[in-house]
Amino acid sequence: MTTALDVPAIYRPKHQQRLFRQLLDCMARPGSVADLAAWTGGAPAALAVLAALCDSEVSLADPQRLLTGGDWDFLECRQSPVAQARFIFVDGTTAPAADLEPALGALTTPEQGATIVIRVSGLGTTGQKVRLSGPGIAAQCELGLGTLHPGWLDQRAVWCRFFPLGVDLVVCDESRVAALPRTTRVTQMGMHR
Amino acid sequence: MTTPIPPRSLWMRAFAAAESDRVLALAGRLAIEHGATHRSAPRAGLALLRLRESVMLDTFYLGEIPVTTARVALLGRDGLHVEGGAVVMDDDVEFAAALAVLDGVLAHGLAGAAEARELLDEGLAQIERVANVRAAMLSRTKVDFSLMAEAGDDNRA
Amino acid sequence: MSYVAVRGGAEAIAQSNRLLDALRALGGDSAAIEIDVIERQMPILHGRVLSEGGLYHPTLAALALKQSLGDPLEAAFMLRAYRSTQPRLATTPTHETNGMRLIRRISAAFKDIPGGQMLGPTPDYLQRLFRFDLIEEEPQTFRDIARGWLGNLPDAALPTSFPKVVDALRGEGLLPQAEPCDGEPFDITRAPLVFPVPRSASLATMARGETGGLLALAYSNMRGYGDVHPTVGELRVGYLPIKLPHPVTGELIEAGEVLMTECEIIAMYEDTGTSDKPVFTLGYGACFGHNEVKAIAMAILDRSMQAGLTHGPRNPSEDPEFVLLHVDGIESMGFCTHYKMPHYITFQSDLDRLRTTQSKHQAREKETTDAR
Repeated sequence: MTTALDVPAIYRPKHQQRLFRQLLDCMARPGSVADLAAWTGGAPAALAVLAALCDSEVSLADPQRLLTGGDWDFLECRQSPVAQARFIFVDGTTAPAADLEPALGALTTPEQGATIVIRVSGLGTTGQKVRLSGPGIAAQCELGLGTLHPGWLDQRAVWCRFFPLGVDLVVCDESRVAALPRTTRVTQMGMHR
Repeated sequence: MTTPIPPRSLWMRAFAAAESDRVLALAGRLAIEHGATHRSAPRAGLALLRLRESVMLDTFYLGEIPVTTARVALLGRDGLHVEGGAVVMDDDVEFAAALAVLDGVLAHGLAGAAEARELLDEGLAQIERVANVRAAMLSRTKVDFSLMAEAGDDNRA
Repeated sequence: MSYVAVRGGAEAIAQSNRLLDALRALGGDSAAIEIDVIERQMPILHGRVLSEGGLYHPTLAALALKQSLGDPLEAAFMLRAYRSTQPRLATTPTHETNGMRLIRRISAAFKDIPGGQMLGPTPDYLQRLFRFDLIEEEPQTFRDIARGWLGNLPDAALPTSFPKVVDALRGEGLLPQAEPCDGEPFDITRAPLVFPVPRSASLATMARGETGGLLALAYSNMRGYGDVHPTVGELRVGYLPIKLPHPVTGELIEAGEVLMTECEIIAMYEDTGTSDKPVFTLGYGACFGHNEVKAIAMAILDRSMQAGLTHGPRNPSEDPEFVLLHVDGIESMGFCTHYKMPHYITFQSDLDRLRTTQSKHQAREKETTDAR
């Protein structure tokens, strides 16, 4: 209608479709890093990912209170305790809280395992380096997880030890995203220089 | 204005019944004038229509209907934000946003409320025209029963 | 059943799609049919698509009819396909139909119903004789029809909402007393029917069922494979105002209207065998659009399935599994048309078996002949 009533980019259906496609590609090819800047209108990539994934029918936990009231108004998803949430949004620069227990699904409903969106900085090239192998990866590849605290990878190993139960991680920095689905085998390699 | 303004619960239907080009034009102008922003993402989707059947008073879903919602913030006279909202059986989010702007302007008496009121009255008049046509469908086809013994062969005789 | 991938049809399929579209335009210089013409001049067909598609979207229902060359099953299929791509934003609060803005209301049970009987638009009193003048209808003549009818409208809007006949009967103690039940209804768009299903699943399935399918099963009951013996307590056609919460105030406001048909049938009274006094039994039918056959058939089937639940099904129309799994137009049409898809391997295996059996048969014949 007017420029005054523009909907923020990440909440426009067309942009969300592009964001979703990027995310899907990252999930299909773990280790690949996608730059979302073209569709976020300057919004943080993690919020863009949440906007693409969430609507009023899903639950989201924000244990560190990273989202503003306005974010919740736009996301429209149900706020939920971590254990029941389908999506969890956290900052990954510090170790995971000891009481963080995401849903892992059940043998008959592994899809009920949570998707954790982790905010870091310097994704792709710097920081915590991992070697990945598994479905979607030819032989193996390497990925720099930026400021991600290694505790998250230790926890992930615990959460994902009884496949197909587990969690899927989506790691975002300011504008980029990478995915570590539960099928991916992760070996920690130390820090990038 | 001579007649009192109808309750806000009737506005959506009235604005939606007014000429849509004029609704969009006025709302577009007022959106700029009052620095309108979205308070939540305008959404187009479906709603389940829940109905109470009249035999055992059970509820069931008759089917689905398209629904669009919008919620906007407008800059009020005292510099504070006021809100307008719209929910309408439609799938055009821009139209819903326009209805939300008019709703907010009229509810809070912002500049342009008089023009919004004009559109509202126009919509109400349109609703009344439709209601009159429907009422005539009923009144003109109302059966005038009488017993044959009293009325002869034809019930209108 | 087994499947095999075959190729080679791509060009033929593309051309077939093109041809289907061209069929609308070939062999004449008439203009493309307008969407709103379908909606206004074929409201009955249009309403059927709305209800069988299960989505009240008048514009898309008309487009679906245009695109499907007037096939109501295909058109309803398009609405179902479309709805599956749309987010679910809300569930409305419970709507009571006594707020319906009626255009037709009749009762076959009582002539004097409160508010009176109003025939509205109905083909019931036509002799099904052709009006050949409609073959060539001048635009001016067509416009004059509306102008003529709209002349001398009463100024003040008369009431279009009336109390329900069943409520009056219930007040007189002739119907079973009922308490409003507010449990969460069954959502057939999200959950499969696993029998036994609650009545809300049954009503929802029939509300988007295919008119012909519902009619066939209800007719079997009418003809004698059942004993509902219905009387139409009330049949109503009108617009139901849709109320949804205002996003800011939360107050319920009118977001639009839905044209619907509703029917209550009164069936034989039942002696419950308990100390309760005998009362009439009832059936309920409702659907989007103006579709009286569907609403009546649904009400009869609602009643017959209730009887089936009480006594055990004594015929097909009393068996919920039989009725509900066979009345959906998209499902039944889909199953029927899937037989057109290549079944080369399954058929090849049928052929092999037949040939083997034939040769065994031949061998046996020969043995018998040789033995003689």
